[in-house]
Amino acid sequence: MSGAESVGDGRSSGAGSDAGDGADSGDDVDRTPVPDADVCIVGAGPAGALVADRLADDHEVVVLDAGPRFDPRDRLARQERAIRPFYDRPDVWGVGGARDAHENAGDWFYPLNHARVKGVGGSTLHWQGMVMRLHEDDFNSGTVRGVGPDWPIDYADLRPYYAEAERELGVAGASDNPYAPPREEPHPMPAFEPSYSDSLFAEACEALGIDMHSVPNARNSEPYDERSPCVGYGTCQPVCPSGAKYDATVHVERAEEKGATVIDRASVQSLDHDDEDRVTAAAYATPDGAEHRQGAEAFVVAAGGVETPRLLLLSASDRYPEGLANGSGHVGEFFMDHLFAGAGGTLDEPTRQNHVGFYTSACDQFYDEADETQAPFKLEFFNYAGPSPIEMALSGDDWGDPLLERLRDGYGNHVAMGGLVEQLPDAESRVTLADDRTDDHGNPVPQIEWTVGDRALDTIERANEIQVEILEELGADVEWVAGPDATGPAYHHMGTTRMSADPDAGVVDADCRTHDLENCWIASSSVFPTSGAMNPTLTIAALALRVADDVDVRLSEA
Amino acid sequence: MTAVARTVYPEAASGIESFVDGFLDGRLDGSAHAEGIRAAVAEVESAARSWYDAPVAELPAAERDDLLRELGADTAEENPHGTTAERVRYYVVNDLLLALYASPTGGELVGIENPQGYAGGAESYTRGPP
Repeated sequence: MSGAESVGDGRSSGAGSDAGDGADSGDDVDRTPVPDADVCIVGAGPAGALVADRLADDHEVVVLDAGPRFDPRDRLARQERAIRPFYDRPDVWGVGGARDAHENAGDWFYPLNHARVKGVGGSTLHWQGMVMRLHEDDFNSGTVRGVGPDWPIDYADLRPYYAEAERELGVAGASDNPYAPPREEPHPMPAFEPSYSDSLFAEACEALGIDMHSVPNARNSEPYDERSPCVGYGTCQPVCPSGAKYDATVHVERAEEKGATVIDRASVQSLDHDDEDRVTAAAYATPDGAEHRQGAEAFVVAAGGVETPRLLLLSASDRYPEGLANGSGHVGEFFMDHLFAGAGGTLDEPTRQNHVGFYTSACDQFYDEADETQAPFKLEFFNYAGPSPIEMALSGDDWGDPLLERLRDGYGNHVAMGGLVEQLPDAESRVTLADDRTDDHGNPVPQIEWTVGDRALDTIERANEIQVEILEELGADVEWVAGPDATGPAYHHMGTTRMSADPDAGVVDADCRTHDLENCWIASSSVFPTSGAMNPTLTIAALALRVADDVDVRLSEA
Repeated sequence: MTAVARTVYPEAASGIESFVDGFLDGRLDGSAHAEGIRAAVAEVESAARSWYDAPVAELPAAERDDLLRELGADTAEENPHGTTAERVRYYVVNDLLLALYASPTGGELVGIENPQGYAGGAESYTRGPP
C-alpha cells in the first residue's frame, strides 16, 4: 500500500480530476483540434481504444474523452481507496459530481456512477476482466428461443474477430468448456488454475451431475504483451495496480505510439452534420472553458451504453429533430443489463477466500436451455466469498485481541456462487434526456428508466435453485440468496442504439454504421440487439475491431 | 505510532517496532497524507500530555487504550477531514490496521497469507489450508 495521498484524501466531489483526484491537471495540454483528421473517435474506453489502435497506422486519428488521463503511478493509492471505508466505489476513479449527474425514473434504480469510469481507459479501469464469447444462439434469439430480435450478424461473422480480440486483450483460458461456442485456436495464455474452493465445489457438482469448467480471464496468467502476470493483489474490481488485468490504456498508448492523438477532458457536447447526412464535426468543451470543433471524414461514437445515446439525443437539429441517427425513434430504447443471481453460506472448514479478486470456474451447462420463458444464464463459483479481513478491520469498534478474534470468527469458511441472467430488450427500458437537470456544461443529464421483465426474474429463481442445490450438496449452511427481490445489475449497460438490418427497427446496420448518417459508426455494447448472459466486453472488442475494418475500407474507397 | 500500534495490534503480533518503522518509511513521504498522519499523531500526543501528563509512549497499555477511546477513535468512522476522532481513526488507527492486515504479517494471524492489498502471487488461492 502506498497511501491515498497520491490521489488526495477527499471523496469525488466534482468533475473527475477537478475533484482533486490526482489525475493530470492538464493545464499545459494542447486540447485544440487536429487538422485534417481522418477519424474522430468519441470515448477512450476499450471500443474507442481498439478502433484507434487499429486505424492509427494508416489514418490520422483523434480520440476525445470526457474524463481525465489517469496517472498509472496512482494505482496503489486508488487500491487503498477501494479498501478504506471512507471511500465509495465511484471515488476510486473520481466518478461523480456535476459532470456525471443523472436521473433515475421508473421502478428499478440503476446505480450508474457505480457502473462506469470516465477517463482514458474507460470502464475497463474498474472491471473484473471476465471475457466470454456470446453463444451462437445469442445471435438468433428470435428464431431459436422465440423472443427478442435476431442480430443481423451471426456468430460466424464475429468469430474471427473474437479470436483477434482475445489476442488483443490477452485472454487466459482453456478449451475445457463443452458448452462454449466453437473456437479455432487456443486462448493466448493458459487458464488460471482452479482455486481450492473450486475443488470443494467440484465434488458437490460431480455428485449432482453438474459440469464445472474454466473461465476466460482478460488477466495475464503469464507475462504477456509486456505486462506483468497477476501478482494477487486481490482488488481486480475496481483496480489492478500491477497491470496484469487488461485495461484500455494498453491500446490508447499503442495508438498514440502510432501517431493517434488522444485528448482527455474533452467533453463532446454534440455532433454536427451537413445536409448530405454526414457528420462534420464533434463539438467539445475543454477545462479552460474553450469550445472546439474536431472535424473528420469518419466518426466513431464509443461512449458506452448511456452516453452514446445521450450524445445522439443532444445532437438533435432541424434536420434530425428527434436526435441524430434517430430516424427509427429507437435511440435510447432497449436499455439492458445482466441480472445477478447468487447464493452463499458457510462451511465447517476453511475455504481460502479473498486471495484473488477473480473467479476461475463456471458452469454454462444451463445456458442453452433458454427459450421463451427461461433466459440464458451462467453460473460462477466465487473465490471471494464472505468478508475480506482488511475491510472488516477498518470498520469496527474494536482493536487489539478482540479485533483479531472478530476477524478470525468472520473470515475463513465462506462459499458463494454468482450468476448472470439475460434481460430481454424492452422499449420502455430506456435512456432519455432529463427534463429539469443539467450537467456541468448545461446539457440535460441522462435519465434512466430501467425495467426488468418476468422472464429474467423467473430465470433468477431457476439459477437460485441450482445454486442452493449445489451449496447444500457441499454441506454449506446457506445464509443468503440473491433472488428476484434482491437482484441488481452487473454494470453491463447495453442495447440503447441497437443493431438492425431494417432501418426502422434499429439505429445501426450490421456493420455498426448508423442507418441515417453514412460516416458515423457506433462501437459499443449499445448496439447489442439482445444481451445474452455473457459479460459483454469481449463482444464489444470484437465488434470494435470489425468497425475499424469497415471504417478503413470506406475511407480507402473514398 | 509505535506506541499506538502496541494498543491496536494483537498480542500475537511480534516485532511491532520494526514493522511500524518499515511502514512509516514508505508512508511519511512528504505527501499530504503524511502531513495528516503527523497532525493526527500530534493531537494524540497532546491529549496524552494534557490528560495523562505523559507522552503516549510512556503510558501503560491500559491508559493508551483509554486515551484512544476517550479521543473517540474506537467508535468514529474514519474521515481525513472530519473531527479529531475521525482523523485519528483515519490517519493513526486505521493506517496502522491497514498496514498490518494488508500484509502477510497480519493476514497470517487471521488465516490468509495473501490478503487484499498485498501482492502475494497468484498461487496461494489454489492451495488448501495448511
